[in-house]
Amino acid sequence: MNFALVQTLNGLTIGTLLFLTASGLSVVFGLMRILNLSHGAMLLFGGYVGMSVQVAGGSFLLATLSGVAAAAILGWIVQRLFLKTLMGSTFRQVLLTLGVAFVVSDSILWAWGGTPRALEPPASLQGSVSLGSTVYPTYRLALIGLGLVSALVLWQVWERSLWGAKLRACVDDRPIAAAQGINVGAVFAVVFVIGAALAGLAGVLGGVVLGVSVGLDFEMQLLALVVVIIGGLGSLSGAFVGSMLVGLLDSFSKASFPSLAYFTIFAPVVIILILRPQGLFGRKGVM
Amino acid sequence: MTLVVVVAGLLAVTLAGLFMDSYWVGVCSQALMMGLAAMALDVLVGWCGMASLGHAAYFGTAGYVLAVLTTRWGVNPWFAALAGVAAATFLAFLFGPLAVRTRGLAFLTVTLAFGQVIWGLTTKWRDVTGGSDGIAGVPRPTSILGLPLTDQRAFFLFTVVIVAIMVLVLVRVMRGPFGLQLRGVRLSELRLRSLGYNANGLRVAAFVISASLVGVAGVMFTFFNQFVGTNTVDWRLSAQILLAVVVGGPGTLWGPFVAGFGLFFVQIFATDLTERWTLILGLLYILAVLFLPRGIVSLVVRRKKTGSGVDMDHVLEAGDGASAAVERGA
Amino acid sequence: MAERVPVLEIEGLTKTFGGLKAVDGFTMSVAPGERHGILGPNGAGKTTVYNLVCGVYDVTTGVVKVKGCDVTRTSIHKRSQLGLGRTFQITNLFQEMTVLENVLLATTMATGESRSYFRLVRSLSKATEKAEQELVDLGLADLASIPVSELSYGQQRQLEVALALALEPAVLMLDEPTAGLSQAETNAMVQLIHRLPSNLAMVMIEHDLDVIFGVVEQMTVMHRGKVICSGSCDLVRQDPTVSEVYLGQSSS
Repeated sequence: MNFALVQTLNGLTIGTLLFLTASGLSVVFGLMRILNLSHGAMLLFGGYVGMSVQVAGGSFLLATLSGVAAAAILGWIVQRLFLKTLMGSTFRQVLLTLGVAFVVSDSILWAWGGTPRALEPPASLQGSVSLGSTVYPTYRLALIGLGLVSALVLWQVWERSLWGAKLRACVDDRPIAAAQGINVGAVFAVVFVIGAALAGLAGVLGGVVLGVSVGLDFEMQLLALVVVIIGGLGSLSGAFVGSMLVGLLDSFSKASFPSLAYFTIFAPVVIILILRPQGLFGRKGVM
Repeated sequence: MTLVVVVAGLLAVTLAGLFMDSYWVGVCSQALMMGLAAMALDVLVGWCGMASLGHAAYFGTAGYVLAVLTTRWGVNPWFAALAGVAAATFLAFLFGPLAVRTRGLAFLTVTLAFGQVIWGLTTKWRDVTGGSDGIAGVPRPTSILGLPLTDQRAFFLFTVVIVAIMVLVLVRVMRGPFGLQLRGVRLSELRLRSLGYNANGLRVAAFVISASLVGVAGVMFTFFNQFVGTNTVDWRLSAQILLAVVVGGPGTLWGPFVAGFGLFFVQIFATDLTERWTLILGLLYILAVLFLPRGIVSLVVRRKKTGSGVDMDHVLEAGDGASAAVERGA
Repeated sequence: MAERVPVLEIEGLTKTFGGLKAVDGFTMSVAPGERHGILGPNGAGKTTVYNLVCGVYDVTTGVVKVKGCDVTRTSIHKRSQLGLGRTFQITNLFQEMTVLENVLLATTMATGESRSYFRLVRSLSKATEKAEQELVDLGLADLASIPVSELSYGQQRQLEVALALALEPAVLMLDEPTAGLSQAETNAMVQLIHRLPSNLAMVMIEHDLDVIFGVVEQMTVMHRGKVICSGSCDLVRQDPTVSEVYLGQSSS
């Protein structure tokens, strides 16, 4: 009973981090047909910057803001430099973002070295909470709470706000949106940057739970890819459901079958892709 | 044209190799293997339009099977090598039919994920694979036709022969009806099916063939180093092989071969000078995408409108001709 | 006279997309060598019928038989191998390949040389000869090494038919072969159709009434997914429901 509860909460924690990461990835794809393979690297960059700020004496809040800003700036640079190419063929942008991922990833290693580091949770969220007979870290619970809140906020923006409507218009039909006076290029740039910022947020917040280390960028990138593929590219609800699913799968399998490694994540992906190539919530023809 | 270039190139490399010192001869050997791997992947990327980021799985599996059989079970290196290639081929037979049901980015992700499954298995299964330590002491076959394969130069000649055979066979097959059919699958799968071809079967065949040849490269690589480690199943190796295809020119076979060959030399130089090979590889990717959409082939051969050359803009295109319109019905 | 097995038999074919019945109880029979037309306004479901017959769509209910064999659940390529040939409403060729390469894909399948994996394409003599002959018959011989993308629309439509023919099907299904063609090109296409082997059954979707009445003997008229009339040309011409549908229809 305890085991199930703890693993479920662990799964939801990872799920939250994944949602922050994957939602950016999914929306950028849905909007711009860009599958950003450097998303994980932006996450890690944000995490490391946040960690450095905290180590230098900054508060957790400052660290978080720095991490988010750093990732956002990186995102801005990438889309500014490469947007034209990115908007071209699918294959080109995949390769391009792959190259960016390598560059950023190795630069992080160069700058910070290979020793795994971590962030400290803010004082107010340290310690644990007792849930019946189990004890669970406060920070992680807060993180899960944040996940729910951010999902609601994002959903609200996406479905209900004017800005979200403009976004959805751009996704559905770019030329018509442009004809309506929506500055599609600016929208794209903003979305890309916000996506990167969310990744950075995941990097810093996750830095407490997962730490920041070489290879985390790839791990998160792969999981995020799996999430968006399962959930359906371009679907926010898909990203949410997919994130929680993958998070739970990951936690339970790591605890129960550590040697099976990626297999437990991989098998459902393949099955889903075969049965429903567009993902759980995706639209046909998107890929 | 392809044949002439390949043969001339191999001859040039062979002659050059025999005059270098044994370190560089070794580098040439490995470079040839990487060229073969890239050429093998081109079948999938350049002909079928399916970019895989998980082919290191077959490279490494072949190498590991070879290593385990020889070091743990004392199997004759020749048989173990065949078993290695067979294992890689078998793995592709298992995974291929699943993978080819996806396209484009889904295919990329699925192949990447499967590659990671293999990587995970390799790193965790310490009893068999030695985990992150790998397996050392893999014996080379003692000799062939009297040449002692422990000698780097002899091994180099051996490599040249094996690679040449693989290349010639591959070129022959891709210039035959199979190559034509694969291009048909990419350009209009529905049309091809309507002509009676099993498009799915063709894709699986391409997948298995490319995996199998990458397995050959993996076996040779393991023989050369007499060691196999987790770098042979690392996704970065998959990315490197894919980069070679892209830089070389998808759909030309010899372009990827030359690029794979050359990229290995770049890697050797780079790792000598700096630890930042990954960074350099990343920059190469970026530069290739920005400036060489048709690969280095485009620098040498003028753009043909037909033929098997493919540019980056069209690699992932699943061309189904009228099928989208067909779906709307009338 | 012994009863001949219909080369194509369709019974009660129905296809539902979500809530929409695109095809509802379509039934048609084609004898060997028969020329059969399918008429109907846009949206009647004609191409959907083709897609169901050829295996592009799965049927909701109904049966499709080719030469007496039930192919309702068979894959597209196996149906083609059984003798079903088809052209597409929107030209579906291998655009980046040459005209000859396009036809070769069809002729190698017909001669079995598609499995000669270790021979170079140019040495596949039977298939190449057949392909070149096809091109001569169509007047496209000069264009053999031109990429299809450079052909005119009319030439591409002709090539469409050539590809399907090269397989020597038992039944050839043409989908609006003259759509978008000039009068001269239409005439050429009609001539081509007239020259089809007499033992080849042909089904044709066509909007141009002059063309279709000049080429087919039997007809099936569709409206909103259903068959409203089926029989000889004279029967169809005199049927009141058909006139209503055609004179009262608005193009949509």
